This record gives sequence, C-alpha cells and structure tokens, in this order.
Amino acid sequence: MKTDYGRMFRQVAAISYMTFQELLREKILWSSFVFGLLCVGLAYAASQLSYTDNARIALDFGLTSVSLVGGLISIIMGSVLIAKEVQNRTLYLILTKSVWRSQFVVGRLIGLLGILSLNTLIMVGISVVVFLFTGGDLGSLLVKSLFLQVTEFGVLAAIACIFSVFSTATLAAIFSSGVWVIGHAMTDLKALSSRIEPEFMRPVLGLITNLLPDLTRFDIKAHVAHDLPVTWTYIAVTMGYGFVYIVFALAAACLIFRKRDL
Amino acid sequence: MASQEKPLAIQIEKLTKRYRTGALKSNLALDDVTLKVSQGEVFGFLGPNGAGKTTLIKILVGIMGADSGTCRILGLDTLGREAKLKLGYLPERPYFHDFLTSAEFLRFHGRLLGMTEDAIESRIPALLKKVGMSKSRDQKLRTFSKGMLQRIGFAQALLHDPAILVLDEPMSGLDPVGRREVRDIISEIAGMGKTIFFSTHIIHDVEVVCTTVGFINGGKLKGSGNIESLLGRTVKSMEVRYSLPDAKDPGSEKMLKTSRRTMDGWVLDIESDVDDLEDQVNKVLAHILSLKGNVRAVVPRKSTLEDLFFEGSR
Repeated sequence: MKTDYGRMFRQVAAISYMTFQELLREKILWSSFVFGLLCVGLAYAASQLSYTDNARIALDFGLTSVSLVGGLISIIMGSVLIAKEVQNRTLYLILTKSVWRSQFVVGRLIGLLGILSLNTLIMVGISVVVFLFTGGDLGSLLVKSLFLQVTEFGVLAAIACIFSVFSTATLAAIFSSGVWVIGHAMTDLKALSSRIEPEFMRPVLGLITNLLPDLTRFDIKAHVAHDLPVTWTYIAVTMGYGFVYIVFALAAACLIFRKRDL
Repeated sequence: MASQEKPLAIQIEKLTKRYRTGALKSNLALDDVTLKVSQGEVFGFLGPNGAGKTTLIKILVGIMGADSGTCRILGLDTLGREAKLKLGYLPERPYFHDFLTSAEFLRFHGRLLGMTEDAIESRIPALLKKVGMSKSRDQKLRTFSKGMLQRIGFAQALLHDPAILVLDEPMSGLDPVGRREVRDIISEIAGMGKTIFFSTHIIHDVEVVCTTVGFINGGKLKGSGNIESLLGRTVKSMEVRYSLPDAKDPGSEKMLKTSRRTMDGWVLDIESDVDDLEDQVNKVLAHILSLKGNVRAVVPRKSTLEDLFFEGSR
C-alpha cells in the first residue's frame, strides 16, 4: 500500500492542534504564567533599587523568570504529555484510527512546543516592555535569546516525553528535573570528568556529560544583560544542536512507546 | 460455528497474548483463541471480568499486537491502516477528551480518519441526529451524563460509515433508560447490515440483541456459535411437579429425599442426556402413579445462556 504522507501530516496536525487546545486549559500553565508575571514585576522593583543600569537589571531578572517558568512548564507538561493519555485511556480511540504511535508522540510534542513558544513569546514580550519602560534599548540579542530559550524548552520537553512514555507522570517529572539541573551544570561537570577521583568515575561522568544535553549552550542571558556580542553562527549551531537532540529524543520516545503494552 | 454461506467479517486464529507482570513473570491473557464472525452478524462476546475480553478487543481494533496468532477483519491484518478504516470502536468507558464539544470531538476524529473537512461537516449533523444529540452539538463532553457520552461515542464510531463495529461493554454503568437507548441504537445499526462485535458480562443484553455468541474465561474460548444451536445441543432437564397421599410410605420416602418441597407438593428435577431423558421421566411418572400420587405438571427446562455462561466460567 502506498504511504499517504498527506494524510499522515493531517493526522499529526490534528493531534497537535488538539494538544494545544488541551494544554491551553491547563491550570499549571496559567499558574506558572502568573508566577512569571510576578517575577517580572519583581524585576522592575529590583531595577528601581539600583542606582545604575536599571534597565539591564530588569532585563536580567525578566529573562531568568522566563527561563525558570518555561523550564518548569516544559518539564511538567512534557511529563504528563503521553502518561496522561495512557492513564486516562483517551489514547485508545486515537490508535484505532489508523494513527501510528509515533505520529501520536510527534503530534503531542508539537502541540506542547506550540504552547511553550506562545508562553515564551508573551513572557519575553512583557520583559521587553519593562526593559523599555526602564530606559533600555532594544537590540537583536533579545531575539537571539528568544530563539535559544524556545529551543532549550523543546529539548527539555522532548526529554520529559521520553520518560513519559514508559513511566508515570510524577517519575517523569523527577527524572526530567534531574536532567535540567545536570544540563545547566554541564560546564562544571565536563571539567570535573577529567579530574574526578577515584579514577573509575571519570568514564561514568564522561558518559553522562556526552549523553545528556548541555543546556548551558542555550543560556545567553548574561550576554543580553551586559550587551556582549553573540554571533548568528553561534545561534544557528546551538539551535541545530537542540534540534538534533530533539529528533533523537523523539525517535527514542517513539521506539520505546511502540513496544509498550497498553 | 459461523455460517459458511456468509463471508467472514472477523477471523481470529490461535491468538495468544501474555502481559509481563515482572522481570520473569507474565500473565497469560489470551490462550490460543480461534474465533470467526460472519458479515452482518451481531456477535455477543461473553465472559466474566478479567476473562480476556478487553485484551482480545484491543488486538481486534489494533491498539496492540498479539504474541502469536493472526487477527483479521475482512481479510486484512488488524494492525494495518486499511483494516482500521473498516471498523468503528466504542471503548469500555467513555475515555474521551472531555474539554471538546460534541462537534469538535467528531471533527477531531474525522481528521484522524483522513476524512475531508466537507465530508466531516456533512456527517456531523446527520450522526448527531441519529444518536439523538443534535441539541448538544456545542456542549462540552465533560457536562454529559454517561448515557450521553455513550451516544456521542456511537456517533464517533459511525463517523466513517465502517463495515464493522466493535463495542466494549457498551451498556455497563448505564441506568435502565440508558441501556434501552443503547440497545435500540445497536438494533438500528444491525438493521443497516453492519457486523457488530460486542463484549459484555451481562447475559440479558446478549439475549436481546445478538444472533451469535462466544464465551471466554481465563483467556480461553469456551465455545461460540449461533445462540439457538448452542442452546439446542446442550443437556436439557425436566421438572416433575407432583404430590403423594402418604409421605411416610417407604416407597415415597426415597423419592421425596431427592425432591424439593413447594407450597402445593413436591418438585423433582431430572437431569440426563437428551437420549435418556424421556426414559427417566417415564420411570418417575410410573413410580408416582404406582404410589397413587398426582402428577400436576411436567415442565421441560431448556438451557439458557446463563447456564452456558456459568458452565463456561467454571
């Protein structure tokens, strides 16, 4: 039978749209959003306490809030993305409609990425308003930061998705949080992996640093806040690294999910 | 067995499925199940809870594969896309995305089926009317009662006009009105010539709706076929209602020990093979008359689906 790519694409699009609609109603999204707004408000307040460079402090605070809130949403929503569908058995009806399990996983993740992009765009938008309000000048660094931030959230969501296909939502959230923390400590871990004692721990640490994503690559908040240059080549290479990681994580999630008894 | 004249709608051969319950442990959910359902039949799949009904249905509708054996609908492997387009499925409980409205829910499933937007939009009003839900088109599923959810589930299963409908316990948890409504929908769909495969542990539902039946227990198929022929080939029993003038007569005492007392006399159940039953009854009647007793009635008792169910459950 000839593969109908058009129909497969429409099926994935239908699942993505339904996921987007579903996640938009989630309380956690709105709670995190309110938390983010409070952080941005705090950023404004903190900027007023400084005698110099109010705008830079506001922006630094704002971007940190975006990173924190977005990371939390990626992990929490990524962890329930598949697990909830299996637990609630809403997946059954979908799989009887000539939809492959991998299409379902991809569709769900795309829907989540849509939510994460929207959330990041709004949060960064608010940070920018505060930044401009406190006298800052808008440059391309902020756009570059936005690209990297959304890519990082995509990587986190894809990792949470892997855990979500074979464990419960709670365990998936715990595992993904661990990866988030390790990913942001990657520079130190890489340095440690050549010096750690006892020596047999070095290959173990080396494996961890090679296997898990280096999330420090996506973090250019300090550059944005202090107006340090970041080239578009760096942005393109780092986003490419993120996309490759997402594709591999998705492939792993699909492979595991295909073998799972429902 | 399935009627030989009609082509087969469902063909299951030597199906086996194990679930892993630990590193070295597994549970045999289906054990070498072979089953055939002809086109146009309403097939009732009976079995107690945990018998393997839902596992077989999950394989039948392509949610998961079997460890060994084959499962085909209209000659197509159930894990293939073509086969899935030929069947509609209603799950055991209405596991639907309840934040959607009726119309959104049907639209979503229509897109998954690969239907065009025009085809979906023209089918939605017709289906909602068929299941009596036209007024609830823009109502969210989370506000629906169980009966309403079952009806919208039927609309979803019929969206692409499938040849085969698989219904997993469609009447469980419904009140008598809801059960009646669902039964009426099943009868109406059966009248359209579609093949219906539905599982239940409620015998009355099968008696009212089905033409053929299969029994499963412990993962093994205990029997299947036309209801009339299944009941016809089973051992019958006779009930002899009688009274005796003197219960203390030595000849009476022996007989009364095997009888049960009623308001107006005694009842003796005679169970035997079909060939031997008539002789047994004649002997008992002759004995009652020799004791100068009265035979009030001789009632033949045919086996019911319930008897078959309990035999199969042992």
